[in-house]
Amino acid sequence: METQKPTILLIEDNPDHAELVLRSFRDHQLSVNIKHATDGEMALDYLLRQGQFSDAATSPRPLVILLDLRLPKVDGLDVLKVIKADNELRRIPVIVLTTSEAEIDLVRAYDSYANSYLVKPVDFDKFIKLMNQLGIYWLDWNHPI
Amino acid sequence: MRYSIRNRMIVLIVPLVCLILAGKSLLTLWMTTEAQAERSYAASSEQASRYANELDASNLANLRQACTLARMLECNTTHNRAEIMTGLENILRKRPDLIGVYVGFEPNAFDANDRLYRSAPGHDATGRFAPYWNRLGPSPSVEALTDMDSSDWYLIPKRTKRSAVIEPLNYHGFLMTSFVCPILKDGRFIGFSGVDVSLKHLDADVAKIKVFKTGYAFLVSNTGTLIAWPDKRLIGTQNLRGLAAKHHNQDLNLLAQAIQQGRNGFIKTRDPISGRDVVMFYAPLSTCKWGIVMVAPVQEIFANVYRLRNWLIIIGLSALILVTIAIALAANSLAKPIMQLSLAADYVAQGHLDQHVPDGRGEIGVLARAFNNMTDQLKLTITALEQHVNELKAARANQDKLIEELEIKNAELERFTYTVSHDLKSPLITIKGFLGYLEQDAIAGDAVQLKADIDRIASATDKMQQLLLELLELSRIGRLQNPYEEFELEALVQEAITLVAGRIKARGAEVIINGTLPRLYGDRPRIREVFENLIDNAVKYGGNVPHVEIGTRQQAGELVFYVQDNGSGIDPRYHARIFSLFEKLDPASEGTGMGLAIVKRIVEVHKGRIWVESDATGSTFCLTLPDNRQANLEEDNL
Repeated sequence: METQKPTILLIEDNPDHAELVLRSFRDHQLSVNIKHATDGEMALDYLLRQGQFSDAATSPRPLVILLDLRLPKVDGLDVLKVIKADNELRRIPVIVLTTSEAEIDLVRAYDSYANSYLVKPVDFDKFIKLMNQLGIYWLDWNHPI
Repeated sequence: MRYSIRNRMIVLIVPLVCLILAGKSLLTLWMTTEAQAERSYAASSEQASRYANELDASNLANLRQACTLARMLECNTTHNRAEIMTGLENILRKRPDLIGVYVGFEPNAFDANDRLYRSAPGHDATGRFAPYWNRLGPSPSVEALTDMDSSDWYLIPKRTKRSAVIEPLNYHGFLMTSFVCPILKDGRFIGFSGVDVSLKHLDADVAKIKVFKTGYAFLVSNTGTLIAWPDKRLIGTQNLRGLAAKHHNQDLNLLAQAIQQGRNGFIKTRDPISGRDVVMFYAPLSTCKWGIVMVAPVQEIFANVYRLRNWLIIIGLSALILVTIAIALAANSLAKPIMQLSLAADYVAQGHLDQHVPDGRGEIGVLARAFNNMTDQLKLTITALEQHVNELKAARANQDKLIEELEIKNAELERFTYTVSHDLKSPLITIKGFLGYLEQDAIAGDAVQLKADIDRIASATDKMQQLLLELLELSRIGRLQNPYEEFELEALVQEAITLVAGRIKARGAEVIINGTLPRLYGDRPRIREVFENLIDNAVKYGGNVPHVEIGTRQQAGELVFYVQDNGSGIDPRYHARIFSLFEKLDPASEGTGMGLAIVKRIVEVHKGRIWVESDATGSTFCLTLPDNRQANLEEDNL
């Protein structure tokens, strides 16, 4: 059943990167329902169930959030802050997935209570491996609320 | 001000002056008093002696009268009692000042015929010749002397065989005395003669004596009986010893003793009448050893001294006041410049460096000049310091500004590196990722997927190339610039429109120039880039049928260029961000997100500003391009 599959919210503005993530999940046959938001505003609309995402049935709470930092409209860090300031949303693990290795981004992310910080590997094999392990860890091993 | 110079000087000097003045005055007074006393006492004593002699003159005359009578009787050989009686009567009638005139013979000493004259006028019962012519009755009359054996006027001449002034006695209400002289025959006492005299005239004479101002004189007999005295009732009835007892004044006893012994001198005592301190000068009358006493009030003897003392006090006090005033003035003249200096110093301390104190003479003047000099030096130093501080401040401000600029540049650079690395890394991930899938596609023989992946790789590569080109372009702005020139903006805008003609046509957009555009001076190719970019954006994000307007307007004294579209507008939240590097509001849109960053950089290089005004009816990009001709020329000259 589609609705019983866990939902992952992927917030990523780069369509190529989003495709890479989706395809790697697909290849690993993870039983997940991936929601893709292409900017910060859309991500917040989804999470706060605003606008086109007002229906709770079609916009289920994600089990995990994958968050890119540099986003159009609303910056990734601001999205993170909104999530962690919300009494309900703050319990959802937020995994920052970005190209940035800048210390300032790490500090800001962790200061805003990011649950994990992952740098997108340039190397294809490593990228695939990371996605695989990420799926296993957060969907199998990790205990959500 | 309690311990001010003035007060201290007064406290120090005034008592000293007081002491000196008081000492001098006391010495003067003491010496003057001594001198005055000596002079007064000598003068008064002499005067007392002179008065004694004057008073004695009448006594002497009376005594001589008695003696003349005695000598006459001694030489009388007729022994005619009647003749003598007549003689006596004549004397009495001739001398109205006499109360009585008399002779008295020892029994039968006159002519041995006493028995013939028993109880005759001028004779006693035994016929003894002792006629006493007197004025005790209404007219001169004669009677016989009685009680001779108990009377001094008989006993004294008989005993001493010398003339004598008999102690005065009060006789029927007035004081009188007897001047008697013995009648001697062959050295044998045979009788005596005498006159009785009222002492009223002496009292009158003594009363006339003036002693100083309010003093008085009195006359006492040898035994101290008052003969002349201011209170007439006491005359003849009171004596010195009585007064001494009455007034408890032992000095009067001493006086009585001195007079009895016929001495002269003075005695300091209390006046029995007024109770004042007086000096009594006494001198004896040589005939009778009576005493004349002059009572001189001490107050008046020393009147000169007291006047001198008063003057000395007045002069002393005046001197004291003058000295005090002089000291106060001197101290003030000393303290005033000091106070001025002190006030000026306070004023200077408050920062008023123009404060000068008036010059003066002497040490104060030196101090004042030193103070003024100090103030001037202080002013110079402070001015120099202030200048220095201002220079430092300016340098510091300049430095701060440079640091701030550097920090901004640094932050910009950091952000630049950060975004560049991110934006370069992004296509790299895409390329490597899809390269990885190419292999899988090939193995799976999925030609469609293969084509799609290759397209993605190509697109990413293009994007990377464009990114690198634009980065290069951005780095050139400001660093490499075309020579500034004057040009027609209108022509330039037309060129820009032509450059984006493809997109205009594709979107069916309408682009118009509102009004005329001015001539400009600047980097022409770059400014064309600005307008090309803005027009391209406007067409890209305009409404369904984009309408773009380019024009100018005057705003707050400067010329503002604008490019307006009729798009859906931009959320005010993004107004600042859109000019940053790699900012794209629409991730789906093409481009690197560097366009507006480049535009902004060009405008800033031309020292202009760029901003966006936006609402639901569209966005307007505004920019200023100041006329840099002057500044540029200056830079060239440098």
